Amino acid sequence: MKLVGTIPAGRVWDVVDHLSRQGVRVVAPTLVDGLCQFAPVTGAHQVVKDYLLPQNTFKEFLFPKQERVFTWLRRDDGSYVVTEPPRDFPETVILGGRPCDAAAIGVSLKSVFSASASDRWEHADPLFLERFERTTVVCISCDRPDLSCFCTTMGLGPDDPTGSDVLITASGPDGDLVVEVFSPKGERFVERIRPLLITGQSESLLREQRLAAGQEARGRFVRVFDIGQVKAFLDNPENFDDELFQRLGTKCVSCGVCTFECPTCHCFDFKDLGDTTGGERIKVWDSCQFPAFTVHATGHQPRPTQWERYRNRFLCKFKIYEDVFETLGCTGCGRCVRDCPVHVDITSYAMQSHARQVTLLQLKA
Amino acid sequence: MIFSTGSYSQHRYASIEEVAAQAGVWLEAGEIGMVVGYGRQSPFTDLAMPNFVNRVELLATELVWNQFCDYNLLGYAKLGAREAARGKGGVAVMVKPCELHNLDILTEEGNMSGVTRDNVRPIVMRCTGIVETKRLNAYTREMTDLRVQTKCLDCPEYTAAHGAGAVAEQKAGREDYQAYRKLIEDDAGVNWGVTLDKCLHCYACRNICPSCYCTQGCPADEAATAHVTNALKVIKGIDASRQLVYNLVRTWHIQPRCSECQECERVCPVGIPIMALKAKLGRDFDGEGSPGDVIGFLTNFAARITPVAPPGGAAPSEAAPT
Repeated sequence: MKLVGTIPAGRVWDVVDHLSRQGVRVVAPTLVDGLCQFAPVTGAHQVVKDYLLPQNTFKEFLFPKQERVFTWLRRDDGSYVVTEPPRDFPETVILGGRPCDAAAIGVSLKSVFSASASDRWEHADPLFLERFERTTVVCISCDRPDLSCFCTTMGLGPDDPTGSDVLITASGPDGDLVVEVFSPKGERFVERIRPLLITGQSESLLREQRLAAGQEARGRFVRVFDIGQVKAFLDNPENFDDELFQRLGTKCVSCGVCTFECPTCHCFDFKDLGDTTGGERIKVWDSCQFPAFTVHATGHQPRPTQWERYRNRFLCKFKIYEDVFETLGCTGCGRCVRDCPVHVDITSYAMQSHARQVTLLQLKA
Repeated sequence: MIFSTGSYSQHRYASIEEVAAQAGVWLEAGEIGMVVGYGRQSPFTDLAMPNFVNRVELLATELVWNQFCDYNLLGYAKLGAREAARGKGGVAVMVKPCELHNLDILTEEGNMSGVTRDNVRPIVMRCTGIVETKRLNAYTREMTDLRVQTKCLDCPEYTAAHGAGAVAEQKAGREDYQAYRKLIEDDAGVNWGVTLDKCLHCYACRNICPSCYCTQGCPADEAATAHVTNALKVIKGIDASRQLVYNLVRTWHIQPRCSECQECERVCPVGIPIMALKAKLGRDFDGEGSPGDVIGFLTNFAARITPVAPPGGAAPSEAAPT
């Protein structure tokens, strides 16, 4: 970590104009049809300055909801030409990401698309990794949460640098923005915006103010609860068919909002469009909540009911990610809590699993 | 919005105590197996999560009724047939007055939906308006500024509760309501090809729809719409996206059952104006469609709104951000 200086309060979005002039694609929170979303912007005037969290994650700029993998075309002599689209992904700066998204996408999602050092996971996705190489994640620390944020419960925080290349935190009496760099990509970003930076202040004072700002934001969290025993509860195979899952999971309406808005959800499917004369194979997002998810060619459905599919999502977030990828499966952004059509709440699940494990332990003792 | 509350009880249950008393009688008599109601989501908010209660002593504590009970519990009406098959009669469902039309639709099509007057008993709540829960969340940053849903402003029950004058004043003062009405009547400003391409295929609009009751064979499901997309491309040469085809098929399919409850619009995570699409499809069909050729009409419609790729530019299927 390196503290490189400050940007005066209110001037952070000038970075957009500055980078656009240098030919860098900037993705920032902006209004798309009335919703605050991450989308490419070219000027500071397009940015939503008073935002808390965009509704989509910036996952879609590394792992698009739909992309072409290859196309095929039959020649006159009956042979086929298979063409992969060029991988000329633009250099991108995600400006104004939040620490929950950065930890989820820069660490957790990346671990799914890269082969792990251990032998647990072999898949490496060039489409994701090449985009990731050209993407710099510049986060702005949150000054407050809403009712659905729970990153502090997941061990992160409103000023946590995990996964960020650069973290910018408003602090001090004037609300100046302290810029910290965490990676070589971040260094390159700082070089690009050098004219906007003010340097030469006392580093220890800035550091102190920045930590104080983070502490203040942490103190504002409402959705704080104990998940200490959730993993232990899920690890015990006897609890796999616990009535808790059935009771809570039946209420899910089986849509994919939570999975598509989740920064760590990564499941995808391939589809072929076209016919024998020509066509394309596309890679599209898929959701474990859909009845057709992982249905076998024999017709066998490993999770025939909705509560089993919801249990799968819960296990994925709180157990499988930790077991297989050794990262956090849930970073507490709260999007699934906010946007569930019927307000099904994964934190309610977590709290009840924790409570149940505590009860089971007490019974045993 | 259509209201047909005549065939149901005119009594309105104002509180959970009244609901518990009535449902308790039914439960003890064995006439219902459980109550499908609203429950507390979490200790942190007043939002309501669906709750299924089958024990009399839990009715008063496990159910809630407040201004945040926004979704329609008739989506769970098929549980009535399940309970009936178990010999438990059926279910009682907490419904808002505006949702009774959906119950009419479900019972009319009972041979397919499985809903009958016996296995689904409505407990009609006294409703004084439901707030837009979306405004509780971070995306809008207006956590204290609560207001009722736009559909409430057109509701006779809401008008009766608050007075016609006050409601007219609210209608005049709310830009979102006027924008909504305007969009329903005139969609000239909407580029449908681009708007529908935003769809994530999350199926929230389909799954929340209280008039959707099929459990399989949906004409708008992933495989079916992929086939239609492919057929359009291969046979007709129309390069419509899967997203566009899905929205056309679903909106058209639900058209005759739609009660205009606007739930699909409420849950859409990318803000597609689905009610305006429904209105436009109806209008265009009246103008140019022929009753014998729905497929021809939808094909022409898809061709008309399909974005044309710029020469040498990205094809529509690559239009997603790279």
